[in-house]
Amino acid sequence: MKKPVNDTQLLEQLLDRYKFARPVPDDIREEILSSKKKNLVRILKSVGAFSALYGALLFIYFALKKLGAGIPVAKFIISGMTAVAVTSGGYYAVSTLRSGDNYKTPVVEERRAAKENLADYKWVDQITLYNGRIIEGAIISRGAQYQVRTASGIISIPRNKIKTVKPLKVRTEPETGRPKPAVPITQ
Amino acid sequence: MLLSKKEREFRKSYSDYYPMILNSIYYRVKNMEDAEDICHEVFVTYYRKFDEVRDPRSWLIGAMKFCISNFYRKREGSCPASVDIADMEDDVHLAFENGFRDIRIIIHDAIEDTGNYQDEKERILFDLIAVNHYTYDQAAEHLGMTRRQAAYKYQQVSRRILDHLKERGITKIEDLL
Repeated sequence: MKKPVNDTQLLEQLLDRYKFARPVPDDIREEILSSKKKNLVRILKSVGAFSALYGALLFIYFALKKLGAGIPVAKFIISGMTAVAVTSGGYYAVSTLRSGDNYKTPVVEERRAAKENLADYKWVDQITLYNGRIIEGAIISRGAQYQVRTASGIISIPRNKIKTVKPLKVRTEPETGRPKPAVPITQ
Repeated sequence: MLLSKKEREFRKSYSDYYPMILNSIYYRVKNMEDAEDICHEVFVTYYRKFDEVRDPRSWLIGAMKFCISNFYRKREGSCPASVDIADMEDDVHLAFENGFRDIRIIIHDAIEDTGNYQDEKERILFDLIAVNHYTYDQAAEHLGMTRRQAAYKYQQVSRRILDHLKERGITKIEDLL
């Protein structure tokens, strides 16, 4: 780290020697830095852009800049908002659990409801597709497109993709008393 | 957003360039009240013409020179000739400092070469420390970085400028001092 310091000193001497430097006394430098906010307000008032809200924002902006040297304001605000969100989320989760509610996520609730709905159907079929995928559900409409109610909702399957349909929960038909066999759809 | 885009960008530009501009004005007029008045005029004009400005730095420096000359022209009892025109214009091609005009041009080109700065922040940092003699702490506080970051960035810029000078044939800086 010794060499770069020498380099900077050399460069500064060069700038001084060739009159590129524009130094001012220490107290003036301090005054310049401390008058930044005051003069900004003066400029904004002159152009008619100053308002109470702007004043409040400027106060926060300069206060944060002064307090959090090294942390840009945007990052500071984002960090703060993240911290608030995480804290409030955690507090909400803990308070919900402690209140004894049997909390379930909406997705779990939805699946449970779909399964319950599925239980209302007389038939639950196992549909095997040509690509090897097996789907369990109640066929609610047939034709070129099969509509199947599954635990995750109603899905539509093109007829030509279905290899076989096999009933899983077979109820005996009142007339024959025989279970319904698996029927290859393609036939 | 609570502020318009213009207001946000103006505040950022002001925040970046204010110390450099006011410092340069003070260096010439040697009076803080006058310097603040001129600086005020520069930034008010900048706000009004904000949408037309493409390069804030060049525009502000140009406006600063114009406002300083206007200030002396308007001021009663002040002789415009008392202002050092060469220094005020800061034109290295016209200035002749101790017979080293060519060297000044090379140094000026090295300082002004945007390739020596990674971003505008580095350029402002260099101006504050090398040209205006601000301390690392003052420059770091102004630019919202740590002292360590400011020192590191300043050293990097200085090295790039010295390399630029070496490429132009100035291999030993000591010979020029």
